[in-house]
Amino acid sequence: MAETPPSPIKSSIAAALRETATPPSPPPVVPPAAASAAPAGSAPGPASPPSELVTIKLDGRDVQAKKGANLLEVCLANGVDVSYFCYHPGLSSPAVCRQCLVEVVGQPKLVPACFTPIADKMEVNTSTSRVLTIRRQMLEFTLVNHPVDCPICDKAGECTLQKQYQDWDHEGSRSSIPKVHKPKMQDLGPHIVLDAERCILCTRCIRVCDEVAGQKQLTMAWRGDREQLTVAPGHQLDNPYSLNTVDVCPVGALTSKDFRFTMRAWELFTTPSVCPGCSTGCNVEVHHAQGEIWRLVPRENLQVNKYWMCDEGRFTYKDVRHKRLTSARIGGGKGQPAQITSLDKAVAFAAERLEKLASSGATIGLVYSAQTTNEALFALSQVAQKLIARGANIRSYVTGTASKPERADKILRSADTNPNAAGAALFAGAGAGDAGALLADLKAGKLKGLWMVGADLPLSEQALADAAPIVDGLDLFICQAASDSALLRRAHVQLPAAVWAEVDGSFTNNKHLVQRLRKAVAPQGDARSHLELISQIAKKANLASGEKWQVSARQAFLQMVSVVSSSLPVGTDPAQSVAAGFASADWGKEFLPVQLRFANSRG
Amino acid sequence: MPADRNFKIVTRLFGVQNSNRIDVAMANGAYKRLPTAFAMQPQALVDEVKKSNLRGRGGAGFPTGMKWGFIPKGADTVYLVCNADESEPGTCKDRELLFWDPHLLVEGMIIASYALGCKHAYIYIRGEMIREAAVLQKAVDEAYAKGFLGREQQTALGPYKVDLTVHRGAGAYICGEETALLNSLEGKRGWPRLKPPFPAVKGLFGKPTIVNNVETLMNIPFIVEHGGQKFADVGVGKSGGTRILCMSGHLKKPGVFELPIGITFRQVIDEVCGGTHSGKRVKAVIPGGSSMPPLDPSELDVPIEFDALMNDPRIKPVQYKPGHNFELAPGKPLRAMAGSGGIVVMDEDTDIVAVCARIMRFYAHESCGQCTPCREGTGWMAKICTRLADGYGQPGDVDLLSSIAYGIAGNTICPLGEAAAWPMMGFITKFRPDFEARLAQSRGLPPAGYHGAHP
Repeated sequence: MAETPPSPIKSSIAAALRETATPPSPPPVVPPAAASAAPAGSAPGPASPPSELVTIKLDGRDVQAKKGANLLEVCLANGVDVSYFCYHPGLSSPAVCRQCLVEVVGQPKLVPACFTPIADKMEVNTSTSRVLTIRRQMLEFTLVNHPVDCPICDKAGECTLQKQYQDWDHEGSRSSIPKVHKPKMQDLGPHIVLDAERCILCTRCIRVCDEVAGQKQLTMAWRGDREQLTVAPGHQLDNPYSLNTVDVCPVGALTSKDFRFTMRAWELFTTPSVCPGCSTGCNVEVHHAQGEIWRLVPRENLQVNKYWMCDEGRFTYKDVRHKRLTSARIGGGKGQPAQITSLDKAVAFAAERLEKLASSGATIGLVYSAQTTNEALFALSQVAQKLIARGANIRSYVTGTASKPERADKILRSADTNPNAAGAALFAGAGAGDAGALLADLKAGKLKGLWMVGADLPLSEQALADAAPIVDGLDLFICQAASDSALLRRAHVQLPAAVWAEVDGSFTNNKHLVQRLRKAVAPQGDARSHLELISQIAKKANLASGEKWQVSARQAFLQMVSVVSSSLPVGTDPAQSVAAGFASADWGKEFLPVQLRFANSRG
Repeated sequence: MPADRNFKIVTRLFGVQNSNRIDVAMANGAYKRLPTAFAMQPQALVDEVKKSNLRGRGGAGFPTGMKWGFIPKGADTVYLVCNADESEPGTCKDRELLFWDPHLLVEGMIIASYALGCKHAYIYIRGEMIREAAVLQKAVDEAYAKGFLGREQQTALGPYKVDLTVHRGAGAYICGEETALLNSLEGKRGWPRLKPPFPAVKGLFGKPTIVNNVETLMNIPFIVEHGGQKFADVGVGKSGGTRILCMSGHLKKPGVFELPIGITFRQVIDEVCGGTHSGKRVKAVIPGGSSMPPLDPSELDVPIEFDALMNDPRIKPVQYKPGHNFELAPGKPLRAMAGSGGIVVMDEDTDIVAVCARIMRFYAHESCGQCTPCREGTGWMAKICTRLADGYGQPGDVDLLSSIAYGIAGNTICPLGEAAAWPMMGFITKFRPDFEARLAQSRGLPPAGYHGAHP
């Protein structure tokens, strides 16, 4: 039995990802975890003035900490590894796993660090032989009835229990008793399967439902070592945040029906990005391998989504795979089928026709889709100015997918299903019309040409098919789209666009935060980012050449930020104005995909 | 200490016919103390209880007056809860008290409620006590009918009214733990709460709450009638009053006895209960409910008093491995505790390993499952102990049992962990040869289909 504590854990990938999170949060006085709003119940004892700093002795060294702060968080912030299962920074502390027991001088019993507030002159020992013995004993208790079926467990490789065992124990089992058997493969709801034997009864999932989703759907049944997690009879775990329970599960008890048995965790790579599901812009990690996305998981951002995201957002990755437009087509319109061609030819075709149309002084509609990145929209606005200079009459429209008021709640989900509505509105300008105006103008024949950057309209598939013939009167219809649609099929130039997970760029969320997207997987087929397509057309049409925004997404971002902030009165509150959000935007550092085998546990 | 073993405070009506009827009870003095109490200021009542050295009779022996003093000054809503969820194996005093003299409890609760400023008191009675619950409910109904409950009374503070609700538990040992009881009373799962905050600060429905045992509250009328000093004089040292002992096991005359504090185990066994029924020597005594470390025959001359059992050097310290004392605090080894007064006497024919296995199965069955050490540890100990008792012990089992118990004790949310771990360590400390002998007779691995602790 080692008297010295094992080395502190390697800095986890989560911490690395957190540093790159955009926008940069103000430099924290205490670690982000400790700075998070303490949920009710997690801060026992007097809540005292929060800013009061006191000095405690942590394993013999003096450490400054906020009075009343959570001891476990202070330990972690100071690089002292205290193992834990039931504690979660976004949830209350029930102190049930007893894994974080530490010695506080003057207290006869060991105390759970996660439920101990910092007091002045406190002396804490986390690695005396007594603490280590008990910690190992707690781990042994946790493992007594755990099936240890790691080879067939979906959580293997990112399991907290597995990691704790490797970090702290490494010893054989002293148990020779038969394990308690509990139900396996229990269907808890539309997205989740429970293996009750693997469950270590930490109650994190129960607290996620209670405290985050606000719906009491999970509970414990039975008692003693027969205790098991369950939903009430006749009920389901079907709240819109149910998959967070899988994320917080420290073992493989709760697994996602969507992800289970598809990939081993250690084969996945992670890239930080932003969910495109709605205007909230939850920060996500895109987990991908072999050029495919396998799942999205939430990434900590205390300003936006804390540690959570909704179930619907997790499934947005499916659109990356399905119904994609993978090659360029030209010559469609008026019901004629378009011909597949190379991207270069299609771009050249579009550029030639666009140039001609612009010089003729015709009215051209430009569609800014709220599903596309700020950079592409900025580029389109730059091209619009050039087109005006050529004599064209430009009308701008902001479109996007339909708003869904029924999905809005006060937690994370918002009614606006477009991730970049704020950005689109900013770049399209004040006089821009909406989708209704676009359809009306098309019907009235006011437009000669139409260039859609993103073919997203708030119409159902059927309604879109019915409305599609109104574009037949156009002389030129350039449509950049990620997926096939009735509208796209009527375009003269159909260009395959990359989607959010395939591009670098940024989205502006409903709180005016400009958040960074990172390219996780390569675009499918011939698809290119909207920015690149705009850039190529502009170049071929002699509308722009060698402009900064044509070089790269990063250059486009930098130019965009300087242009937007130069037009802004100093000191404007980001909450009031979208433009102010851009002024504080940061591209962040480049981030190579990291394989999850180095990530340890996520739980 | 009164020499008179017949001095009674709470068991005066035991054996009186129809004593739980209000007319009979009132003829014997019930509710006569109310005017005295109502004439006093609440603080004076609390001071009187402090002076009386009344200590909690549920098991921990915490001074009642001090507990009452923890209620924050100026609290608007305060609850008083009577813990009648008596489930400790070997303890059967509250059941008898509730059956014979429920009105004394009601009277005690009215006085305590007035002292604490409580307007609604609860009695949480164990679900299995069906007969007692009916008796108690009838007594409460009678008290309502007579106007002692639910009607305004003139007091030193002006008009005062208290309501009393009897709530039946659903049959869980853990709901005798005060915070689990409060959760259960609120309609939640009977899981103990983390402390702090203690119930006196944040208890039932988030309000300051005092949880007292049945016997504790039944002592209050005596304190009001005769003064705290008289009550303290009846007792010994820092323990006031008398003590009810529930004598069971291999005794000639088992039963529930109210006896003076300070009587020794040997005196009770030999003089009150007439010795063992077989006439054989005593082998082991459980001193205060099955969650206390047992005593061996050499330790029976210790008085049955809270402090004596904890500190008397005649009681050997409990060890978690040979030569290592289990300490409650640095320099304070665990010896024994008076607990809830449930004394179980075992004669020399007793199979100690089987007794231990039975106790362990009880705690494994009753562990609430909230925190890891107790949930997994009690089940583990029960399985090993049962296996050992059945003759399928494995080498190292005895040390493993001690080691598991050491891992549980003191590391759990509530005292159920200790309740399982202390007797385990205690039995092994004092009866290790029994365990070793059983291990030596082991028949090897259990046969296929052997389920041990979980049939």
